[in-house]
Amino acid sequence: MLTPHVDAANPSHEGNWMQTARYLEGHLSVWRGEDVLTFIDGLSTNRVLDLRKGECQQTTFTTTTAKVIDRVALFHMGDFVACVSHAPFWDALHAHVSPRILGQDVSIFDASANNEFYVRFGDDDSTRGVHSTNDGVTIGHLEGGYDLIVATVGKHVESEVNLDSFHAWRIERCVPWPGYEITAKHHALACGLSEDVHPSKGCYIGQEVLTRMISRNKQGRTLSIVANEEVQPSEITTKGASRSLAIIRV
Amino acid sequence: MDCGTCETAGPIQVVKPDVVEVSLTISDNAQAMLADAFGDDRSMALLVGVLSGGCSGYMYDLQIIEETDQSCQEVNINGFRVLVPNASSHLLDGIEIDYVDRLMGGGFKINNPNADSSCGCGESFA
Repeated sequence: MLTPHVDAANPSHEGNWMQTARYLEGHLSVWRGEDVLTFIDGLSTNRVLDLRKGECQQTTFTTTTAKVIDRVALFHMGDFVACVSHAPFWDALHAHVSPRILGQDVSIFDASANNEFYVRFGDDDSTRGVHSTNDGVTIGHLEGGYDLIVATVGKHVESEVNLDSFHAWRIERCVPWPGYEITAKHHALACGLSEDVHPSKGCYIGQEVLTRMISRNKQGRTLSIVANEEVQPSEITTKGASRSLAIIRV
Repeated sequence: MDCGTCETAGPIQVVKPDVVEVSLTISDNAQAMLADAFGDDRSMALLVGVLSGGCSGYMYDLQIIEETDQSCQEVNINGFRVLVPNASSHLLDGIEIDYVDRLMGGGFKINNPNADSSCGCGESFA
């Protein structure tokens, strides 16, 4: 069921048709310190150095072989950077970043227990890459064409559908999601995260592999929308009624 | 998410490796270059640190400085003051600071026995 959406923080969104689903596997960490952005920039695929208060951006942490550790959404909150990641991947992400905090001014706090997570999707023409907070509810308009909502526990956010509806929406738009397309099995380009891979930001872990794939136009596999009967079931990452998402060899 | 998110969030345990008493060497080529750089002023020091990032995860950070806020240990080699931050001492014990005289890819190089691998340009290691 589609419901008209009114964004209290941005009334111009009135009239867009949006659906909201609870995202139970969200994880929120709070990153504080002068070196947070340079630290994240040095370890992930996107250029985040220019992120300013009120903006949000996605970036992907990768291994030296460019395999995905997690894709995160960063919200610049002024005093700190909020990092929304995928809870099942948190241990791996934490193990990746923690030993690399050397002399830098970076402190990380776990705020997951204080917050609930939702995705909002549908017919939306919001400006992407910005977020707003109203009464404990932060809405980030992400580049993937959907919104990520982080609500302080106790703040009511109406979720009229479950994630299955979101996955059906994702299939039609070829939007990758952690645990489905975004997994440690694949590199960032195969997962459909090319928008996260900045072409000229300089060195980060996995950069040599990704840059070589891009320059040679050879990335092995790619995320595609497929008819269910077109591919092996093992290649399907998100299954729909007739069409699915699959990471297939190109 | 609101202001309380930050104040009430629990700190995440960060791996803090033990501080290692660093021993290091400087090659003759590197010492000659440092002598050029420092001149007669030996109050300056060469800071050899490590930052996160680079293709392999850790990047060397070389600076000629007078002083630093970082907690460092000082090594004196033939009159050259070398400062190594305690936070990255576990990654730098046993290194050799070398200087490679080449038009491309030349400059100071770190030969690091703690590195499992390094990137093509030699500026980062894992």
